[in-house]
Amino acid sequence: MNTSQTEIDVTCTVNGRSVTVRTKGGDRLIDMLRDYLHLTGTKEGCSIGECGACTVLMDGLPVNSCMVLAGQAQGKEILTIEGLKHEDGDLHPLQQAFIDAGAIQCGYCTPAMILCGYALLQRSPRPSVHEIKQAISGTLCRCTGYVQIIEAVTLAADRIQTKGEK
Amino acid sequence: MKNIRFFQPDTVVHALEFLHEHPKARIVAGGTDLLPEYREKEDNAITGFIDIMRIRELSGISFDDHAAHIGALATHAMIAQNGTLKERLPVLSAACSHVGSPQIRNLGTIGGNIITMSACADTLPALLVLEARMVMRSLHQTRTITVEEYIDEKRKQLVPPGEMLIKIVCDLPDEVPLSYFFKLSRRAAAAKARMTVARTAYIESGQVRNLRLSVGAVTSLALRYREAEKLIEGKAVTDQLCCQAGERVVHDMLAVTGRRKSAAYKIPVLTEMVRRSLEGLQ
Repeated sequence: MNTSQTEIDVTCTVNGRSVTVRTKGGDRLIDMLRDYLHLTGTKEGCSIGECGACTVLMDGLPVNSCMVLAGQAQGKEILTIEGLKHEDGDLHPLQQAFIDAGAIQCGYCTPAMILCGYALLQRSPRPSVHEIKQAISGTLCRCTGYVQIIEAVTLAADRIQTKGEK
Repeated sequence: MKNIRFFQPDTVVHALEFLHEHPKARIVAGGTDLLPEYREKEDNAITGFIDIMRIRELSGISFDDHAAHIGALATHAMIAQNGTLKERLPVLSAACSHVGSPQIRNLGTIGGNIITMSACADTLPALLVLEARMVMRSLHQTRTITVEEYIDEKRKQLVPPGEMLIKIVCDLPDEVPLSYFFKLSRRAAAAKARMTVARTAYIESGQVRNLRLSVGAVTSLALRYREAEKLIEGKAVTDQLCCQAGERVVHDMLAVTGRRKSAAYKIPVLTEMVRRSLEGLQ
């Protein structure tokens, strides 16, 4: 794109589906996801990159969607919490583990926590507690005290590895 | 809401031309400093964004026999995870691994950390002790300056307009120096630095050689502390020398900042941090 515009058509892959969205020059990725695509699972908390509630995966890496301009998502692969469940509606093992381990209270950080856990399990299928703590260190939870979240990621890793759950 | 232009050049020249035509447009790389700033100030003068993340010339990390060439767009995560950098430039690797949170390290770039130059930028003390160089390009010239010279230009508001950082060059000495990096912050993760100390040195026949010491976050821009370095250079490190160096750093820091209220905290803590950065050289 070698000419500048105040409206930009952003074409990217969101949850495995190619989409083209007309956005404004100052829109952020979180605006595109929530306001244009109505994927409201991605939460806006602080808007300055401190709380991590807006985390999505961009090309497989967790990023704060409040700090990415919509135009910067051009050609990228975005995964939000809505993209994790299976087509038949079954929950991903991480989602189920968060329920089973009591890792959800108010739920506001949950989509971000699960996506951070998902990115971790992609590169480290049997993570240590230290690795899990590192992976979720950019996402604040003010309810659980984190213990149940760490247990949930461990539980999901175990179910995926030993029971072959997907 | 005003109309913001968005421009996604694929070459440095295109970016520089656009910047020249639209001086109030801002270059955006990782966006981790710029986007909060843009949204916080409703009356900001930004008229457009120049997204440089697609410019190949600015990305990647490469090595030749004597130096590491780190593209301005290398993210903190890329630098922290690079095995060669971890081995050869451990002080930079450590600094990048302490930036923000995992999400921010996946977005934020080393170029952004330098150019934004916040007081608490984690990479600056490391780049100062490495005597890293910056390759800057404008429409008319390319120049190479050290990070320390650039900080000085920034302090004196002498940075020429219309320039872009292309890459950082760090020498790779045959022998890796003994390296130390410590960031003091209120939490272990996702926290701004209160104080940051970076140090490199060699020990030859029990004596300290080529000591470099830098502190970030206590002054408005990170600084080298050469008087403290001189105190120790060529000597065998003792407890007393470590304490004296700590006191010297504090003395020189106060000469820059004056005695603010926070001095009551900074003086003892910085003295101790500097002492700890040196005691390992005994």
